[in-house]
Amino acid sequence: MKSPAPILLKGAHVIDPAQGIDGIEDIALENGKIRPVEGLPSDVETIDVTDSYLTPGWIDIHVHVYGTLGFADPDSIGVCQGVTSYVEAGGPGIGTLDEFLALLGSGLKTALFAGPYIRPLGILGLNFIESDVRTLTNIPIADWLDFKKAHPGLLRYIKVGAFSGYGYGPTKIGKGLAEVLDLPLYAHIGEHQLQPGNQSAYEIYRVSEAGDIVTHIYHGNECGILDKEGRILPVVQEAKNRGVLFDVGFGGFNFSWRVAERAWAQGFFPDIISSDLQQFNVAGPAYSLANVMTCFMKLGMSLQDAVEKVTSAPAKALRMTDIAGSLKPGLPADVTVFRLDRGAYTLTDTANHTRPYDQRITPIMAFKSGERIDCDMQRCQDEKNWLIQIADDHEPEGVARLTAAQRSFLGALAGKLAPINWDEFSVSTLDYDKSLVLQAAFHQARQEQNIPLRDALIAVFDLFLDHRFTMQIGLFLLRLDRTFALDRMRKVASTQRMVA
Amino acid sequence: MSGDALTAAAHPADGTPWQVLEGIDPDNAKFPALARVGDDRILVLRIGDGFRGVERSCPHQQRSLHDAFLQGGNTMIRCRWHNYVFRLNDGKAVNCPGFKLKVFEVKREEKVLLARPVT
Repeated sequence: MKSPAPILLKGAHVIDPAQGIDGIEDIALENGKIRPVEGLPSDVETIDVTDSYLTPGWIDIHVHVYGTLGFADPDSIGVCQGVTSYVEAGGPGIGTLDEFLALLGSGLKTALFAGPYIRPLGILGLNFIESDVRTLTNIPIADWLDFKKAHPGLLRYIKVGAFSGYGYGPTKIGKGLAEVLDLPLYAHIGEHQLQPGNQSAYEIYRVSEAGDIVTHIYHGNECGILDKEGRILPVVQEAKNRGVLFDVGFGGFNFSWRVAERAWAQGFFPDIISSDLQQFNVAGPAYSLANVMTCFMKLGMSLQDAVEKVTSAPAKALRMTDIAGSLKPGLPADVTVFRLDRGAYTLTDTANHTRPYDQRITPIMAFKSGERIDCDMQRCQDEKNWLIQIADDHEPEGVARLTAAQRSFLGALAGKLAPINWDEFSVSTLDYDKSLVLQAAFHQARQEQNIPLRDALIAVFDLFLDHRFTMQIGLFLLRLDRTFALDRMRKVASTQRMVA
Repeated sequence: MSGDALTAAAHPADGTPWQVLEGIDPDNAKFPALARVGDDRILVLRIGDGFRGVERSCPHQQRSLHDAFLQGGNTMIRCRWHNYVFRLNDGKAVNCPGFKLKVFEVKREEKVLLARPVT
């Protein structure tokens, strides 16, 4: 629990790049904030963190806790791994930010920010139509402006896939939206789901301005940062020279030792380290932000620089130095404590190439606004956290928790969905428009039943999932077998009527 | 879950003939073992006391499944590259809707293994 009483963290090697601190110091917390050590009462609660490193709470600007890539237990990749703030990188769009907020706007210990995608539904995942310009459907500028104004500080960037089968238009649309909203553009240049020879990804380096961010910079797929001889491409170097920021975004496809080593040898370093943790890389090879930081120490980065790239650098890039990224007195008491373990470790990239290393960053404790959380690096590995399974052969335990209102809603939803046909989920022919139709039916039923959005969303998830993942409702309904889904909704609703 | 339970849970492939897997000694072979069933190149997995066959590559990006993990009490197989998980009884995708893995019944008769596709 958050303690209003002062706490003294004593004896650690403190690294706070924003203040130029690099040495043994004591740090004090009080009322959820960092406070000066001077003036503490003599009987202050003291935690001995000797032989550890202590830094500002880490910021991971690229994770997936919502949507088709997200986790059932978002804190497992946050405070449990020493990450006190993170940004959902593209899971929601303007058409699903309300769902995102209803589900994850409260209840997490980790501070969650949003970097929404320009597509109204957000990232689709799994399917290879992210580059289809038709899935942008529309860009409701007024809605975007209104949402940002209504939720100050929530949005940290606008995410765009720097790929297109339609020329450079989508990239420029993303930049235009980011400019309108006065947010950085955050561009995915990794696995880009295009036919070989499509060079549209390079447009992002020309469109981006100082402060915009490119992620997945060391990927080994098409349209990378190197030319055929392994040299940094001029268009990439020019972007870096004028202040475009380069972010790691390790991901499941997007970190190559070969690319990173060649870039490193040419002095092409990242500005920010992020993990891109998601269902599809948490069990390896990404594991944690700490593991990704360790990969950069293997490349030759100092520990101090690795810390800077998860603290002061992302705080500055996302304009959040007033709330995170430093241990200055008065800032929220976000702190990460870790060890630098020695041993024989293997670091693996996303192409299954390995490098041996004799050090490993191991988070042991975090404080979030003064609340202590003991780290547990294995918690995220639990199959229940990342393996989303439709409970098609049994009713999940959550069904027993459904309220009368939720059961009635499910009956009404079945009625709304009954006239709509949808096919078995297909990789090659994801029916994007149908997911919008299903989403609209969901909201219509919800409004008619006058049930809060969160309750309605949870009713659906608890009806079909043993573990509560959170994703775009239209995409979730689309992946259900139609007959099975309607039968179960009706059954649960009729059970309610019998009880009543 | 034992291999017997897995076989029992499989969809029957009535009418599909069993094919002897040449060159695999069930007592001494190293599993997963490579084999062919008709035109399909498969991996034979040892699961508990029994066996199961799967196509050799993950349908996601055609990466080899030779070092895949068994998951969920040996009822599922997980590609090590991107955590795509498939049910071993029918090949249905668990966390990657739309994908499907070809799976094969494998049984032992004395000193040989026989296999046939699960339909």
